[in-house]
Amino acid sequence: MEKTKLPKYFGKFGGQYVPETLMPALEEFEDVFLKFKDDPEFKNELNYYLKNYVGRETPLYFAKRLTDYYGKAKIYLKREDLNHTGAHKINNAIAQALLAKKIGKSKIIAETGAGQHGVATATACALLGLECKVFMGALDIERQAPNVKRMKLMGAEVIPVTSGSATLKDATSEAIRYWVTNVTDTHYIIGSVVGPHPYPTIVREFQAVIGEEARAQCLEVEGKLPEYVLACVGGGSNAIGIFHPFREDKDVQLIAIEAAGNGLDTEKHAASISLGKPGVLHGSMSYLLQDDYGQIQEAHSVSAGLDYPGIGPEHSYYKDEGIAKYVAVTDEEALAAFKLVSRMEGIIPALETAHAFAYLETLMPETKEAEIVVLNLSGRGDKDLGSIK
Amino acid sequence: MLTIFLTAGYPNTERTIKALKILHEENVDLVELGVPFSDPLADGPVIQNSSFKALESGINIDKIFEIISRTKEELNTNGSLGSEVKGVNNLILFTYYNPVYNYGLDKLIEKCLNTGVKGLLIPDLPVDEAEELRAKLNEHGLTLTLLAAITSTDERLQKIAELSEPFIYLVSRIGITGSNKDINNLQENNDEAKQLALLKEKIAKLKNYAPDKAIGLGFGIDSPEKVKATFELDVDMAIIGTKAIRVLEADSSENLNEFRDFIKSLRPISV
Repeated sequence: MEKTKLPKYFGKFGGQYVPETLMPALEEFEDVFLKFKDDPEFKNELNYYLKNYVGRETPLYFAKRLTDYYGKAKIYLKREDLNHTGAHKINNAIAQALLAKKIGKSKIIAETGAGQHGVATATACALLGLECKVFMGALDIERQAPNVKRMKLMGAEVIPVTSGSATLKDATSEAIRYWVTNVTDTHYIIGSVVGPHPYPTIVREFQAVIGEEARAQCLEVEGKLPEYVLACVGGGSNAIGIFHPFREDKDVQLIAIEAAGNGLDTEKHAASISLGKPGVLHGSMSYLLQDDYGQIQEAHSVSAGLDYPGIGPEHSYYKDEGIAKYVAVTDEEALAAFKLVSRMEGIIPALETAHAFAYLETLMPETKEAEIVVLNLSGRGDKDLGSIK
Repeated sequence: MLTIFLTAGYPNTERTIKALKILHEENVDLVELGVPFSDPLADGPVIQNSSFKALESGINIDKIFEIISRTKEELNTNGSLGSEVKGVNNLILFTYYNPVYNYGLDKLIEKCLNTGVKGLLIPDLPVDEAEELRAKLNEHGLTLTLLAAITSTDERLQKIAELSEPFIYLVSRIGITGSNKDINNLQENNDEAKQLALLKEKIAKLKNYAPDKAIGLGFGIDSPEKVKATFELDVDMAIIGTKAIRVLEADSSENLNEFRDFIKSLRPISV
């Protein structure tokens, strides 16, 4: 049997736990990625769109008022919210859509929670002339209405998923079922570092631009690396994107912030790493929220993008190896941070990102004035105004 | 040969036991008992729904083993269990991987041996991920049935043909479980002729790789006519799941007469 050419596992996590019907498509996707990732023409094309269409590179912004507010380390924000479509998701969506064209597939499907990945995929499809279907939980369609409108305006079909908890987990399951049924002419653009190999690796490669830029920008402005790098984590694409280029920098502490929902001592949270155990969902082995018999439990978070009972396998590996630290903040803490950052910096962060900001309350008192914190501002919060009282 | 799939605990435990007894009495060759899972990726709406309902009613692996034991006891009491390897004496569990992983393979094997379950079929465990589990099952005389697809490459088919026991489960089309009607909202280009040609090609290859191994065909076989068409291909076994669930859930009779009649209707064609 043909060996996969990218590592298939991160320690014991990852793998390819999918119906046999999909296996050839996964092999094909990996082959195409390997063939084109260093191809000058493909890189030029991708970089052209990232620069001229998405607006990269994004700034590393010194948040002076927020820094003064805490009175400790300097806080820098990696402004992924300034990307076209308002979040980091577009980095991966455009790259995968370009690869789909290389495979010769003109139909694209995607799952979405908050709608940011759905919007990014709809955008990439409009840009490149591809047909687009987005699977979205019925509950998320309700709480992320502006994003649903944006997707439809750009020509995507939004397919409501009503099974289970009607959120991201169920949208992902339904997208996989659709893919199993239409695999010959359809490419599935997974939006996070989840799913079967090679998705977690490929999505990470396309999001690593965040960390590569941030690392270089910090060195340029401050002449040294940051002491802390923070990112919110649901599936984990923005976090892995900024963490990966720092993973071998021993003096940089990587901190991922999960959604604790109503609290880690309640049943309503989305803290897969903090409270889950290893298992298999959506094609890979990772930490999962599950009951005593291995049934997947519903996650709960005020943020639709973090409302997922699993996490990317590379994060599970980072957790077990101590490469990154995983903490959690509640809905309430995230909402407070959402308001604080809006007032202090004139930046309305996505509710997902607000979780990372909320952790500053815990982290900042421990920092020193000479230190640097880089926080990945993964998305803007306009989409969330409807869910804020 | 004829294989019937049932979701354990659906519509409820008592009906599952009655249905299993009917399968045994009607000489079904192999029984696939489905362990409900919260996220059944390879299943269409009918089996999804049956799984969710069974889970809501509190079914779990331990209770499923109790169902199997009770069924055998009752059949033994009325003198119809016998020792022939068919019906519930030839029962495998159809389960997604996470419930197995979570439960622990050692404990699961012990339970299988105690209740006479013959093996496992795990739709989200492709051959590449299955080796360790398969070896361990085999060590205890249990089997792992692997699925082959009409999209499988030759290399993969060959490996599946070599390792799958006691038969090769060939998925009849590109898709999930259920009749075409169930999943047509998902199917964009249902080119049946093309898929049939691919299917025939894969059957020939499997026969070539493993001439002595039975091939079971499943997914979308929902009528006596489809069963007949299945045996016109060079396969040894028809596997019926979704349709059996549909008949079972619609059957309001105390003794599941309609379900029994449905199984009987498949029998003459499949011998």
